[in-house]
Amino acid sequence: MNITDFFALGSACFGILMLGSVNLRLNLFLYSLQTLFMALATINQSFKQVNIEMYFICIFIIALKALFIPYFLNNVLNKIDIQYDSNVMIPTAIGMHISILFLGISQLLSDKIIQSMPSIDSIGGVTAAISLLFTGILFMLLRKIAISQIIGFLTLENGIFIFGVSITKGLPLIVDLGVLLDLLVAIMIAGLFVFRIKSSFEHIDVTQLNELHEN
Amino acid sequence: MISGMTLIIFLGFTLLSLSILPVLSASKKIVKIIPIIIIFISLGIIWQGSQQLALTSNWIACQPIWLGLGPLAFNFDFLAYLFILILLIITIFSSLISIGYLNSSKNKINHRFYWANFVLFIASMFFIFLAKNALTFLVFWEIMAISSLALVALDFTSTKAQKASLIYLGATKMSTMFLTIGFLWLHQLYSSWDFANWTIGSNATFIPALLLAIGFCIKAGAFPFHIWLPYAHPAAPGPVSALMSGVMIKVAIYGIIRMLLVNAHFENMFFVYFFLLLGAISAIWGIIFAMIQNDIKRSLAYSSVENIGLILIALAISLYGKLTGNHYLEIIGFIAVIFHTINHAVFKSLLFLGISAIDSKIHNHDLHYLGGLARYMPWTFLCFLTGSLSICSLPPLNGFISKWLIYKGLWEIICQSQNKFFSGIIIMIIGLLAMVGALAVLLFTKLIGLMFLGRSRSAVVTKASEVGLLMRISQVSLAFLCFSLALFSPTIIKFITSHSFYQLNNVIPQLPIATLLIVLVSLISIIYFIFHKLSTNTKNPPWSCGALQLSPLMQVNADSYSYSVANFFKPILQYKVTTSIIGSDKRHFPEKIESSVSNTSLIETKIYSPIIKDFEIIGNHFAKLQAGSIHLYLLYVFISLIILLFIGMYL
Amino acid sequence: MKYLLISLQIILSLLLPLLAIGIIRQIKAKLQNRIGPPLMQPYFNLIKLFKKNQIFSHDSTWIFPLSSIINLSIVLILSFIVPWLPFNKSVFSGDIFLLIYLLALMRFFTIIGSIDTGSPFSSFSTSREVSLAVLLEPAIILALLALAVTFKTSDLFQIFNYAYSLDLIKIPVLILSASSLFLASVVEFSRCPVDDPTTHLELTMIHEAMIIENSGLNLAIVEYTYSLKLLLFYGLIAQCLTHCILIILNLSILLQSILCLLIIFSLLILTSLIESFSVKLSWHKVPDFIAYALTFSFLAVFAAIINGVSL
Repeated sequence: MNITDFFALGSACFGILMLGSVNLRLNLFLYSLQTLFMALATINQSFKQVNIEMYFICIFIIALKALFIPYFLNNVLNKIDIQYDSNVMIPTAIGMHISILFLGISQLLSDKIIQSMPSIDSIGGVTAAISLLFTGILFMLLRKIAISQIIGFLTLENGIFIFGVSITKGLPLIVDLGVLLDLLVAIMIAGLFVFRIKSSFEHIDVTQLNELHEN
Repeated sequence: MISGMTLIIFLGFTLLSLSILPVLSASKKIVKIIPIIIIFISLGIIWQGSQQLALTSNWIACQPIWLGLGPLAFNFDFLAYLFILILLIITIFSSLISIGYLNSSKNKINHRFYWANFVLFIASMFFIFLAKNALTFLVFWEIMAISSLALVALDFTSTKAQKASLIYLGATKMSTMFLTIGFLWLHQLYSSWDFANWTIGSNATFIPALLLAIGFCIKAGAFPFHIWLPYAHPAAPGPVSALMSGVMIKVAIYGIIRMLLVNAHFENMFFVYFFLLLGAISAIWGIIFAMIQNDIKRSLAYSSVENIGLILIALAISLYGKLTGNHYLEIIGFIAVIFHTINHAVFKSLLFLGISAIDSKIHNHDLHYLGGLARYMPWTFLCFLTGSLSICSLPPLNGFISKWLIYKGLWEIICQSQNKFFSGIIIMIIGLLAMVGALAVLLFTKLIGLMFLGRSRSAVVTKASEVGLLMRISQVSLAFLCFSLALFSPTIIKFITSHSFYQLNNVIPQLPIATLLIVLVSLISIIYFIFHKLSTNTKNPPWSCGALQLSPLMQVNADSYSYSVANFFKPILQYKVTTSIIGSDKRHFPEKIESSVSNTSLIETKIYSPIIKDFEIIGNHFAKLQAGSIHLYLLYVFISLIILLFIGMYL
Repeated sequence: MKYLLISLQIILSLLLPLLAIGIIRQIKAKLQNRIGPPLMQPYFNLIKLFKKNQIFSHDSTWIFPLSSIINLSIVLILSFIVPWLPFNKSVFSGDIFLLIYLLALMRFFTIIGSIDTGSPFSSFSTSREVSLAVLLEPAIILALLALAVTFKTSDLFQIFNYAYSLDLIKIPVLILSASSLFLASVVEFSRCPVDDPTTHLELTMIHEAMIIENSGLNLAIVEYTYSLKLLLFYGLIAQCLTHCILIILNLSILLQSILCLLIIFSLLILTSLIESFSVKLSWHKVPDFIAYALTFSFLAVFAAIINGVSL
């Protein structure tokens, strides 16, 4: 295990801990820690590959994903006055343990991937990426409030980013910036939507959105 | 001069023929002599066996007496002697306690019938351990099944016993069926009935080996096949339960060791995974169901399932060692299997004998009505406490050593294995075993606390008194055996290792358990004597928030004690609590509150019941064939004749 | 030298535990703007209890007084099995499985001792205690096992052997195990988020309700046993964290000892901080709390396995 693996797996751990809490603010905090660790892993990787563009991307990631987006969503939470997503599908503890099981599975999967692509040097990165994918999807599946769906989506996106970083030598700067910008816009719009939905329906439970059906 | 082996066989046959004695003679005296004869014969066999062991541990076949297809043949080796030793020690104490139990029993048990089957049961198990070929094995296996069935069905007028014996009969027949198919298959492959000529393990023998494993697992009561245990044990008399749980399910373990471990050379990991998985699930499943039962005997029956699980895990360790060619691991696993088998036989019999003792005084084994027995039956309490500490595998007692060996074996596997996936599974199994240990503590604190401690929950208990001398002696000696097995565990382990098949370079890891025991006991006594002098005691009623009187029903009861944990395992147990409140103003002035808990075994309702129902439907269709008309039967004969003729011509 | 260290350890195990309790109480009082009891108050309490008369319940048998004595003996033995001080030497054995089962033995006797009193409060709290133990024991054993797998030995004294090696991969396992053990200790010792030892509502308590019938000398023994066990646990956690630092820095033995004691001290501060800032969880939330301990254990095991299981 090298430093990149350490940070990548750390970010996967924060993803898992996110599943264990119904406190949305804590979830956001864990998300920003997770993103920070992911950025650190990326910095370390680019340090190895001597890739200066990656440093810029990391700075953008920390500024946007680790700081601005949680801050923005926190504001949305303040506005809509919701703090807990307590109505989860299965007990949080079990959700957390299931995602650890998936961490193990992603380790087995990444072993297989590494065997087919010997050029990859960061097995922990691949493991963390797949695990974050699983965690994000689980998070979206198990939670009912729209903000949780956004957080789950962001986690999933983090997984994809780590996967890209550990498998390739890094994408061109412009592509990554484009992705970041898209993400930012998407989250802003989603945040606005959540606010609107709350003000017109008095709740943001996505399982009850089928009320919107026109009969 | 007769040889030692002949003497052993002769003593065995004497034991077997002893079963005719109570049938022949109607006099009461005969029944009183039988236990004495059993004890003398047992001691004789134990002594002669140890002589034999010192002389040679080779296979010795007796003069063949033909059993249709093959000779009635026995052999005597170290493995057989170990199991015979377990059998006979438990037999001695169990027959001692039977005397008192039968005399005080409320149900009208026919003494002659009891002793005839008791002797038959012991003798058949004895000969199973000695069997040299499959035919002999099967014959005595069936005698064992039938005689134990008769003992389960002793109280045949009660519907509970009827149901229990039907389920037990079904289970034991299934087991025999699997074994018979497996043996026939192997006979076809090797054209010999002799166990020594079989080498199980190649791909050709995979299916018969699986059949044998399933057959033995049914008899041992491992996870999906365990349902007969919780029915058979409460129905059988206490001393018989001790024998069934202590020894009979170990006969199946003996079978597995003999066929699938010692004589087998497997090529793939299937059986390692099979026993590991079955063992782990049995352990957790058994203990979860054990902890919510209110009938003590049912709890102990489920706890046997748990212990069989532990033994199977140890077996898997040994198999893994054999598969990877690691003799050290193989020996650790083997010792863990044998030692846990011995230990379980000792402490489970001890617990069942303790319950027989209580049963003989109170005639009730429902936890809701007991409590405070420690004051009336101090010896039974002390022995039951020892047994409980031992079965929870708590340190200075024998149960801990075998469980520690299992942990050590699993730890060795983690150290040896190159496979991350497999090590992960092993680590999770260790975590699971820790949980099983905690649940065992829950179960046995529940039993001890609700049976012996606190205030009595019903008036029956206050009439209890200490049991007679014979019952006390047998309990105390078994409890003593628990301690001495722990104290002399290094010697016993050395004894087992020296007679097994490999010379070891590594030393088997051992704990300084004797030191621990001595230090603990001396510390306790020193602290006790220092502090005993220091203070004066007064007796007061317990704290009741200033209320006047506490009812004994306000103490924790059997359901509320395990309620929180049962809630954790709600989906497995199908645990439901139903409360009904009766009264005009329910909320403020309830007149009567009733609460009951229910649980069902998923395996029983979702798997076995539908299968049995389907069989019934098919059976009803087949029943139409037997319409009672002679002409129809003649038609069947005719049709089958034609079919046979055609088969004979063209095949 | 060895005997000198052992006798030092015995003296410390007699003196330190109550001081630890005193420290927790003092810091808590300071955080709540109270003057608080003096640091030595637990000692004074102990001496006072020694002089008092014992009151037993009518229903109790010999098990009740004996169980606290048995627990005291076990915890004294444990203080030789657990390397809770930096200069502990292996006298006996440091086997992790032995440790776990000695803890279970203590639990067994605590429980039957309190059922023995026949008091409704204590018998109900035993039910709670034992249900928490069911979830707790896997967490503790897996945390220790992760350490064992990483250090390639199942003996605690060999795990914490103070051999300096710049082996960074051990750090995550050590930290995860330590956090799991800390969370477990909160439950094991019924500290605040799980159980509030200072309330007066026996119905909701776990540990305090279990010892509700103990008085006088008996209570003194129970209190001392509790505090020594707490110190042993914190010592074990401190060992994990000390070794984390030792992997990066090479320190002399004296500095190691000071560091270890400092970490124990900061753990005590952490405990009192948590107790001041958190409220008691409802009984139904406690399993979720233990689930975190279990999660950290699982993660520690995972980290230990991917670090290379082939020993």
